[in-house]
Amino acid sequence: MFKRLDVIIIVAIMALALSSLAVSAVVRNMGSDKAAYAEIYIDGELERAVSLDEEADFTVEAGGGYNRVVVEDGSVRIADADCGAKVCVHCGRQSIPGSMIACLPHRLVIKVTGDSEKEEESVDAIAY
Amino acid sequence: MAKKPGAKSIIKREEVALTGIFLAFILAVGVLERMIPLDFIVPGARLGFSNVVVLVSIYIFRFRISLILVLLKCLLTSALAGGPSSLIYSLSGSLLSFVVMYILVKALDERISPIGVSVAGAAAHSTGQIIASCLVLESIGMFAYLPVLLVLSVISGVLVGFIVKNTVPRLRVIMPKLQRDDDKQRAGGSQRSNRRG
Repeated sequence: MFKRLDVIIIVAIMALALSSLAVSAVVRNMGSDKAAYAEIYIDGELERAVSLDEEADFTVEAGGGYNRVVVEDGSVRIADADCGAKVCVHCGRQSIPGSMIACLPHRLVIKVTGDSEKEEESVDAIAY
Repeated sequence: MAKKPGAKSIIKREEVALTGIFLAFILAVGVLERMIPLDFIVPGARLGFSNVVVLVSIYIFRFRISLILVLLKCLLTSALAGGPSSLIYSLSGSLLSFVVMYILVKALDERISPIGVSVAGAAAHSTGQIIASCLVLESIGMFAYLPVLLVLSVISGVLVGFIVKNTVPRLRVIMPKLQRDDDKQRAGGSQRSNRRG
């Protein structure tokens, strides 16, 4: 049923995926485990950074709509939004550094970051 | 529409009808898929069974018909379900996937089965969408989702490929006319210009 090329393609894609999963797990472990901030980006620009130690409930305007961001119990989530599929709302709570919530229609990204400066540098080095 | 039977048009009547049927299939599958959200694995992930229709169309239709089908699929699904901003994600994923699958089918015809083609197509679809979202959000962070999406692509790609593998031979049996016209055209490309007009 499978031809040789099929197997090669499947194995190659799986190898690529699993190796990059392993790399990202290692990279994540090197950073600090304790999440400190939720950074809210709109159009790639840092709009606002909120400490996860505090409670917060606010609404940001993005992409012609709104996203209601709730910070509680050391986690961040998008509680409500007027985007189409509400994928961002379904993402739920995020609290581990490196995890994120994206609302594609509103071009909004929330990144959870640790507090060490080293980690921020390494992220910037990759991003730019 | 008083065309003579022998006259050649860009798209044949049979192809128009079949494109409509295929498109209806894609939209119906899309609606069903939206009822099975895989958001708990990766936000926005879906099974991608509409790729069955696209891949079948690559095997049995001409290039232009498959391309029209893919473009209409993107336009209609984002018009019906996603809204304007989803069009760019839909187009980037579907077109990259279509190009990859088309090249694999035409270049490696006998050496690759629909399973390999659809796995590669599904992976290309995920990659295209991730690239588009990185460009829109101006952040490479979205690449973090790609490994998981690739694993999902392999799973759904194998399922889709299996369905396509079993569908194409049967469709070729019930669509002999289309196939014959296609072969004739491939054999005698020069006749086309003579027959027109």
